[in-house]
Amino acid sequence: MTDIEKIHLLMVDDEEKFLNALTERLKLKFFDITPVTNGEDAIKVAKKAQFDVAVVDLQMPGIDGVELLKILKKSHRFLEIIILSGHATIDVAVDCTKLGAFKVLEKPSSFDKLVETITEAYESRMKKKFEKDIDRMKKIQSLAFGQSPLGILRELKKMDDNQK
Amino acid sequence: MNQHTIDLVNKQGLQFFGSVNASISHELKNIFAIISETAGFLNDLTQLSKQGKEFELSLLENCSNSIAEEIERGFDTIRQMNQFAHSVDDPIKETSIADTLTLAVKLTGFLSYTKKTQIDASGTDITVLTSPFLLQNLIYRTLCAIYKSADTKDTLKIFFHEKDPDTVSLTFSWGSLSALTDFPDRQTTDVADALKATINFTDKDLEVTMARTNDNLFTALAGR
Repeated sequence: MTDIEKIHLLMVDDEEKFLNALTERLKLKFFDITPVTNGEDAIKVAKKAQFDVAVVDLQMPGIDGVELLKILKKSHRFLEIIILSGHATIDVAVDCTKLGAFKVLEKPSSFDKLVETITEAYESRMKKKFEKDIDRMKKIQSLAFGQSPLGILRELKKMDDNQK
Repeated sequence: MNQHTIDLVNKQGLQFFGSVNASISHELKNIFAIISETAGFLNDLTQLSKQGKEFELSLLENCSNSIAEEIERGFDTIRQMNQFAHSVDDPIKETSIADTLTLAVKLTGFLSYTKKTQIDASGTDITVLTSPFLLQNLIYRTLCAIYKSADTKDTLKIFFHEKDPDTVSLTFSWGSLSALTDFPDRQTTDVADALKATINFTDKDLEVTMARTNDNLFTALAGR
């Protein structure tokens, strides 16, 4: 698998040993992983690099999983977020899904299940991006008629701002 | 202490017992998650080895060390769970302040919002004739309230001393005292009343003072 094909994964968990073990295992599955131990660092690295999927622990000191989910979803609309919860009750799953989480998994979850869910989340992201790209192409085509070059650029900038 | 207070404290006691057990189970789940992933990684390395692929031997050593450490952490957690469970054995008994504080700090250590804490154990230990379970409840509630309001960089320091022959004082000192609002809440006040304890704020500290013996509690809980 080349670097381009690798799924770029952001892993956030305050349990450092759990994070390290999972990171090593996922690396063997050809994921490109950035592990961080808190929400603050997750926000910082997400600003600098582009991730396809984030796996976030629910209970963390400082910015917890729910807060991080809200922040990341607001600034990275196509990022799919999987929540890991020690107590994955229906209430937690419903609340997180309402906030845009792709799925809530109980911690510890089976490794195969996690890999499967990350892959599904990646596919969902690609599908959403593809649909958005098609939509964008249609808009660009419609802009090309009856607009000055400067007007087209202005409209494109507006579209890009809305896509962040 | 009237019947209303006894009922309230009993109900709260059950809630307290449940919430501590939930935090312990969360801690144990984390431990199992680490062991599970580390064992999985060992299996992955075994498969790599079978395929003739090379890897750093230190990875194996790290895995076995990590599993051993987590098993020790699990034993520690179960020891604390056991100690906490036995706090309901005797409704009233001579209770060590140092031991109760130590256990409360360890139990609150399982919470995600816990902060660094030091207990000053330089003096001699003090005992009070009280309900060990209710005392644990009061200290746990106090610690939770402080941790929730404290800054992540704060270190909580706890001191205890004999204020006079009949009274014990526990002092909680940390950086951002002003951020602790709405404390003590009604439930904490009820527990404190039952223990004949008062919670006061000074300029820099929070102080819990308590009677070393409590005849009302004797009558209510031990039926003497």
